[in-house]
Amino acid sequence: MLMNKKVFYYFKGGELSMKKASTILFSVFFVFFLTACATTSTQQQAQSYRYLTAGYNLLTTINTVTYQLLTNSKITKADATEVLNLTRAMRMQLDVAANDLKTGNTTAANVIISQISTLSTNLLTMVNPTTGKIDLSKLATLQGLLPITSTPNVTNSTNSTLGGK
Amino acid sequence: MGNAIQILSLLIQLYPELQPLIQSIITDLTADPNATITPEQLDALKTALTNARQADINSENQLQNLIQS
Repeated sequence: MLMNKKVFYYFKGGELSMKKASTILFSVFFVFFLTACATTSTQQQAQSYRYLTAGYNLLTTINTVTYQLLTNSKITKADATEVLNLTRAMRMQLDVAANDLKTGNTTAANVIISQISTLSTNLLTMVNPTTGKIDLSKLATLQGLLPITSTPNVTNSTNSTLGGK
Repeated sequence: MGNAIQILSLLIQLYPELQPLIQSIITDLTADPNATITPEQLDALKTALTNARQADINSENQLQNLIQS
């Protein structure tokens, strides 16, 4: 009781009823819960943004390496087209994930990001640092694993933005 | 992702000009998922995402132009 009185001194108007105390405690807990939820959600979002950015950068790396290989005549134009079609299809999937993330569908976005990260990593493993060539025999396998079924557009891409503020 | 980081490290040796890009991939893949994020940091991540997508599209277009040349 002494302890209770000490606590109640903090409140104007004398003693605090159990009901009021419960309401205050519940409010404090609720605010704490909301803050915790918001923090977790922000951290998850941040992680998805990082992985998505890494995914786009992985595809940029693959395109740049392919560009170098074609410039140095280590692969043919047909080979480079195969790689480009694949990276473009993967980018379209990442665009879908970016839209999911933008609309708050983090789970769906993460599924796509995970798939594309695996596929782009596999594509990257086909670049042989010793020979400086791409193992094209495995490209068809990767094409079959892509979740997208439509043939990607081979014309130059637009400059629209996604996933921004 | 460990596999990707190993390959990326090899690629840096082969293509030194790709170092900044590859370094940024490694930074994103190895970031602490439990680190506290401020709204400003989240905005910066969104901007980085938009820039990365645009850079990817540019690299697609460059490769496409080389193929068509």
